[in-house]
Amino acid sequence: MNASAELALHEVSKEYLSANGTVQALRDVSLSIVRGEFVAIIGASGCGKTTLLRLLAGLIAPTRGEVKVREHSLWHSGKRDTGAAEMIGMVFQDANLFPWYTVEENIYLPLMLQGATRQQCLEKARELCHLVGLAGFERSHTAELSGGMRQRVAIARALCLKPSILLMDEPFGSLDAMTRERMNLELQTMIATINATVVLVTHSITEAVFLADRVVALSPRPGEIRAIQPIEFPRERKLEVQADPRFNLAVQALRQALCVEGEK
Amino acid sequence: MTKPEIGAIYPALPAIFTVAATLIIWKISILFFDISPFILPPPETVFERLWILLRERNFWSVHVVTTLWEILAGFFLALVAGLTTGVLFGKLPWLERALKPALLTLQVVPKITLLPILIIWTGFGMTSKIIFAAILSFFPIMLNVLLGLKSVSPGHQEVMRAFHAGRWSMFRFVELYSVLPYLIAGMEVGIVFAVIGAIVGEYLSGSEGLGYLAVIALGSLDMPRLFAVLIVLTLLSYALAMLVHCVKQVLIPWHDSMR
Ligand SMILES: Nc1ncnc2c1ncn2[C@@H]1O[C@H](COP(=O)(O)OP(=O)(O)OP(=O)(O)O)[C@@H](O)[C@H]1O
Ligand SMILES: [Mg+2]
Repeated sequence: MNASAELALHEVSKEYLSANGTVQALRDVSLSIVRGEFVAIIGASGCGKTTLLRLLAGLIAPTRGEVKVREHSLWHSGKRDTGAAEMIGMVFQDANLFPWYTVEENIYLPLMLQGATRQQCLEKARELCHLVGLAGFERSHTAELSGGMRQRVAIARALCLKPSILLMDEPFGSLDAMTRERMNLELQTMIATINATVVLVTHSITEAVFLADRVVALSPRPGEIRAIQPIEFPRERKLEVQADPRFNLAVQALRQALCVEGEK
Repeated sequence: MTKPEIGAIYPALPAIFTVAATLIIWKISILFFDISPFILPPPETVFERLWILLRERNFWSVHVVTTLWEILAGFFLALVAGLTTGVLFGKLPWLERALKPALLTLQVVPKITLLPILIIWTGFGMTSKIIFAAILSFFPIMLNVLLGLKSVSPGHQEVMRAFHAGRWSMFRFVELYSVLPYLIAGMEVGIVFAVIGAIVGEYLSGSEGLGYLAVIALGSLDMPRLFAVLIVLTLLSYALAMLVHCVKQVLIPWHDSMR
């Protein structure tokens, strides 16, 4: 394993206990992600992508194996290491905004929980609104926002505590193709600005190839790593890159990796 | 351009129309079906008696004040107790398990049978009515708060956990707000129950209040007066319901139901 890994999974398995027995969501997943890397995770619905992110965020404990953030294990005999988890920001599959708060209140809530003053909170919210392209909407209520804007709020909120690791669970899954492309371009700029390590879950192979340095393909449940495809293009990429034959080659390779498993 | 609906221009118009239609049907049916004024007094007689009632010396200062006070005090007690109990039950499942049987018993017992006991314990004054009103409106409020606490979105909870929020922050920033719409729904039912509690209490005992006036009118078979009291009571409940609605607009303007 790489010694300078920012995030690392060592033979991680996760089983959920449910009413009718256990559900194995992930099996023996090992992955190490270096600082500043952008990793995309793809796989069929229900293959354990969200589970993987929740494990990385320290929201759930692995059944077996170990999750490490900068060489610190996230879990110590059943207790979460909050110090290590502090560096992580997470964008959830549903934006999960609080409808009783305005845009800026949603964004600065994490900071307020840390005991920051109102002034600090407002400044941070303004800065983040600017970064994610929501300037002027600070006082809006979340119900007045479009789907894309809601995701922007969720991203800004995840960035509030200046995480060095950003986990995103299908952040653009509910958006139309055009908005999605624009958000992808903007996301690249944002990531470059904050200089974070990113793990992005998506169900779009092209989105994964367009954004990531490495794409991890998971098998259907229980999720195992099928393939890891490095993407050579330098970041930040332009949309034209999608016309490049190497881009299509990478997409094809991943599609095959996912399909082979499906035919079994 | 589409034609704006008439109700959009004058919001009160449909309501006024309904009231006018009711009065007309009331009057016409008396004329047509030859209904005895002892059964259904004509509207003009009722409004005449209402006018007299409103100018009676003790009407406002004694009867209305008494009933209103019983309702509000009972409702307020129920609100405090219902909110506290609901939150405690929601947060401490062992407490819920311990006390639920007792509360369930109190909930299913025909509560009207408690009234004579309350009267014997607390006398013929306002106390028995306040407590009775409180008991009636306690359950909708408590049960709704409990339901609200248990319906907090798992997604919201996970967001808070991702931000390392403690139990108190979780309550203060998420659960409290998630419960508010349920609390309001409980209050909307509760205020009506509190009115019922106070009036029924006055039916059974005492010498003050709108319920008492209704019983007296009934005793002297004074139908117009009974109707007049009924109208006052209706308007009073209506005003109280509007009050809860105002609270709703202040507390949960963000809720989907307010759009
Ligand atoms: N809390 C839970 N309890 C029991 N089973 C669960 C739980 N969460 C997820 N699962 C199961 O684990 C499997 C993986 O779920 P997960 O949410 O990680 O899938 P996913 O890859 O994110 O799917 P999607 O693309 O649809 O979001 C699913 O089969 C799901 O039913
Ligand atoms: Mg998912």
